[in-house]
Amino acid sequence: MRVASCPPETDALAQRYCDANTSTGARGVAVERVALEGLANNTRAVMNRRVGALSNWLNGESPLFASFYTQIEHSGRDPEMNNDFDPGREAAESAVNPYCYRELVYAALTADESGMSYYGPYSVILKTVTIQNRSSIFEQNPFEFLKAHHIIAGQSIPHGYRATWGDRGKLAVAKLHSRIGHGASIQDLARLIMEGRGHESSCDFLEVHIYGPVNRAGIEIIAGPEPQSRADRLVWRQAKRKAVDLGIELRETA
Amino acid sequence: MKAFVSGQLGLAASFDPKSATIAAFTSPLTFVHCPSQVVARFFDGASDVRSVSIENATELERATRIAWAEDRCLRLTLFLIEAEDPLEDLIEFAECVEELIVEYEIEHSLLRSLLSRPLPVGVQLNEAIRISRDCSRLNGVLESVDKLQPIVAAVSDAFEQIPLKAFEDIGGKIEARNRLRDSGCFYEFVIGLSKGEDLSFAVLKIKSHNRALSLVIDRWLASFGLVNERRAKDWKALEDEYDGDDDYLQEVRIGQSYGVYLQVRSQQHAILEKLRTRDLAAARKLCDEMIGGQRSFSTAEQTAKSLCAVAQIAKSQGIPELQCEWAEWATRVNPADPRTFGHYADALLALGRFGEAKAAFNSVESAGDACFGATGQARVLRNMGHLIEARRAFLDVGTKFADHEGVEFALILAAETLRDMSDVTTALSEYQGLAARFPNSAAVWAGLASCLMDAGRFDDAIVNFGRSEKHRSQDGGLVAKNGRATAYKLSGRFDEALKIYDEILIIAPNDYVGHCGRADTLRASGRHEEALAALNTACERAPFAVSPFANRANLLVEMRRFREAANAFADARERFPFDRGVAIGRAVVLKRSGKYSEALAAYDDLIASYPFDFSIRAARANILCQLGFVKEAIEAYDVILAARPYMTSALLGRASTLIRSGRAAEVLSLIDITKPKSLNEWRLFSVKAFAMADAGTVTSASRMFERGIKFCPFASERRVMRSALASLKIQTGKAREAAVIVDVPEAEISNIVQLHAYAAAKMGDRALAAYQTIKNSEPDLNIILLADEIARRHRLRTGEREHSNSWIRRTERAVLLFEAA
Repeated sequence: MRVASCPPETDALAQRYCDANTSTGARGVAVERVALEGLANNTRAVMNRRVGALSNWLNGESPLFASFYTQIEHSGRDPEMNNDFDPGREAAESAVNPYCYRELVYAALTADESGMSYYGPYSVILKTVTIQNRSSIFEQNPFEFLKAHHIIAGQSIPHGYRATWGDRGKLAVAKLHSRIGHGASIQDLARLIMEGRGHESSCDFLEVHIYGPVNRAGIEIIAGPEPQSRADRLVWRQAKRKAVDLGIELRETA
Repeated sequence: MKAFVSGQLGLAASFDPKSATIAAFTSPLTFVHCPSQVVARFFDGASDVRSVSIENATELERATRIAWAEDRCLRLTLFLIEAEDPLEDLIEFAECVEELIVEYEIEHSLLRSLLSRPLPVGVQLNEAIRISRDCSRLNGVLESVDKLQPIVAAVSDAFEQIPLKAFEDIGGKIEARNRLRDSGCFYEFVIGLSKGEDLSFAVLKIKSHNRALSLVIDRWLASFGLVNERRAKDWKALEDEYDGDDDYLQEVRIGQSYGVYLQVRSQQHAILEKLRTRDLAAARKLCDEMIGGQRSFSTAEQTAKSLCAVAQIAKSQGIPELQCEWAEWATRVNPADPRTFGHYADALLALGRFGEAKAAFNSVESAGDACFGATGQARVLRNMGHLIEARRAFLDVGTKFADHEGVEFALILAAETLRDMSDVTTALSEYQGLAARFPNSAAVWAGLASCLMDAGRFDDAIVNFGRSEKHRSQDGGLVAKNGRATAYKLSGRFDEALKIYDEILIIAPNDYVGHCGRADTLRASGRHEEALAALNTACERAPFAVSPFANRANLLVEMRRFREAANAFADARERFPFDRGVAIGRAVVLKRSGKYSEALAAYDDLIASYPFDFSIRAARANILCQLGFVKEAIEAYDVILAARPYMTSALLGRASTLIRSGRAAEVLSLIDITKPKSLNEWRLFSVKAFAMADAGTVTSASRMFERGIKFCPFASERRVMRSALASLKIQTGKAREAAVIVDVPEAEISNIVQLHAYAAAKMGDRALAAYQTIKNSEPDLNIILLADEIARRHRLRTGEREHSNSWIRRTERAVLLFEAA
């Protein structure tokens, strides 16, 4: 959050935003660009999980979401995993947030409550008030970003690709302006903020970096389908009851 | 193969270094492939991830299913025990667990988990046992857990009594507990104690899987009175015996025989044949077989060398992805050899994966070849467009490793970086120094010749290409011959160039450089159809080289056959997904076909994909200018020039934009060039002449163009200046003189100026023919409008004038400036 609000970041983002305004003006889609910015300014953070992880979060001894590094620290996770799968992730995340990546929880921006179902069918939308003062928005998944920008661990990342929560509309415009079409509807624009193929790994989205743990009391909405297997259906049923007790809004999708 | 499994998530991930497979427990099981670095995100929120060894997808499926069933059994049983849900749900929890524990493995896991920790105070199993009375297996488990609670509590308490100092910290203690729980330690102790069994074998087994916790286990057992010092010694003895049985494999190094060497050579040749026909699957299979065989009979060094050799073969055949795959494999086979990382880094560089290339060059340095590694880092900077930093880095290598054999390569690249920055004079001077220092280097003489060519000194270039040829025999002198032909082509001596290219193609009929050079010469001389045919042949002869495909697509753009060009770029993109020149194809087609708005979006997209490529940003600025956003275009050029002050295309673009916006005087003060040498300098010279014309000094501008036509060694620039001069003559009422100037072969003059000159000189037939040529060539809208207006004004077609004289002048100037810049 502090990094996103420092002058080099805000200046570089302002330059990108200015270029985007020029391009959209030249292409005759300034109106649609304004609509995109407005829409992005009203987005929320969504996390997607599988039913087992959701059940853990709602029923666990701790009300806090167990992030990757928390699990490592508290050794609920096999340390070998850190040696095989995770160095790439750690390298990417530490390059983007070198001093605090271990404290971050990751989410995506959503304009229409859809989520990255690739990571799990249950979309957990967070209450904005609980995260807005401790979150920044990043251009895309850090791993993909480093690949595109040819950055390796230890190097600093270019400025202008992150924003404070309040400036997420500007970042969305800076990133997405070239994809705005003439007469784009609100639905079309929402699909730019998070592509309509959240079930694919390549789905592009703006990433939310939340500093500090996320309490289950900070969940606003849980949306997802009824599972197919009997055991998972029972876990989901129990999770729904727990969610209602916690005052969380539930949406069972098809 | 190793895999990670989480029962909580119903998810498993197996992986190789490049792509991971995620198996999700659904019905049927679904598999997803994704980059291994992304995999960990799937496992956020799970606390039960563990590693398992699997052989194939069937085993992965089984591991996932079992882990999921184990978790759901435990989860639903705990919900049942907690009894916070309605009775009908509790009954369903019990029934569902009963369904899941049909396999002993799952039932055992449930029991093991429930016995690893005492039930919380106040929790009674009676109600759960009553609800599950119709579920015999679950009921049995619960009754056992209930009965064993005192022992569970004793074992657990004993563990808790182990002092914290036996672990690093509280986290270490939790980790140890989880590990021991997962390896069944609590269960073994509880069951063993409940049956009064000797725990020796159980302890031995557990310790063998948790060697780091051996002392902890001893202290644990001692704390509940089951072990003393003597027993601990006995166990240590048993443990040593057990260890001896485990180490049954002994590596035997076998020296590679000549027979093996011959076999490997023949396999490499077979791989080459498969790569030539682009049968990548067969090439991979052959390589796997070759390396599989070498693992038995060769050392790691020899095996890695074989992999590097096939990686180089893949490179030579234009298959960078396979080059990268095999080179990366070599680094794993022999990570101590800097050459393996060198090959890998080279492959990554070819693929444009700069970040990874940097990391690989770091490995080269740490593995021992600091000179090559440092040169590699500088190469990455150069390829990313950081030319000033790259040059500094190359020169640093030259200073730091002055006596190293690799210094020649670094210094050549330092000079080449100057060429990239259009500083031909300094580059030439550096090459002359290098030629004195490394007189037997073919690369130095070729570089010097190229530099001379940049400076327009074509005859000197030809002499030096000859020197390069003398020092390099293995390529049959092709590089030098191609260099000579290029020199003739650039100077406009097309017939002589074509003659050399024909000679090259007799010697090397598949040499795509020769084919492309020949095609480009035909294009430059206006023989577009022949050029296209030549490129089609090049694509057939060298299907793995990107240049023929990219050149063909660009030629189709020039011929204004945009649909075919778009298809050609799409085809090339499919074949060469990592090539930047091909990636920008769609934007180029949109731009040249006048679809500026779409082109702008396409360039904006490309900037996101290639944020360091300032040539794309310059193209965007040009589009803004075309769309009439002149102020914004100039601002965009300013941003580029602040970062890349030497970038000639941005300088030219900015200058032409200033002229178009009526600020020609500013251009005159910015471009200080009187004796142009290189192509870029001649381009700046042309633009300066345009600015003079626009500033009102038409006579001086005409003189500059005349001087250029006479002295410029570059045919393409002479063409621009001839057109510009003719246009000025028309403006000043000297139509006859203009007609003489344009009365040259088609390729040497702009069609629109030719039409205007003939029409203004009242040479009706020629003007009509020129008009028809323009109409047939499907030009962009501006040229159509201009041609129509000239034709109406000079009665080559019917209709009233629609535009003023100044509109014609402005539009014609814009067309010529577009070409000049």
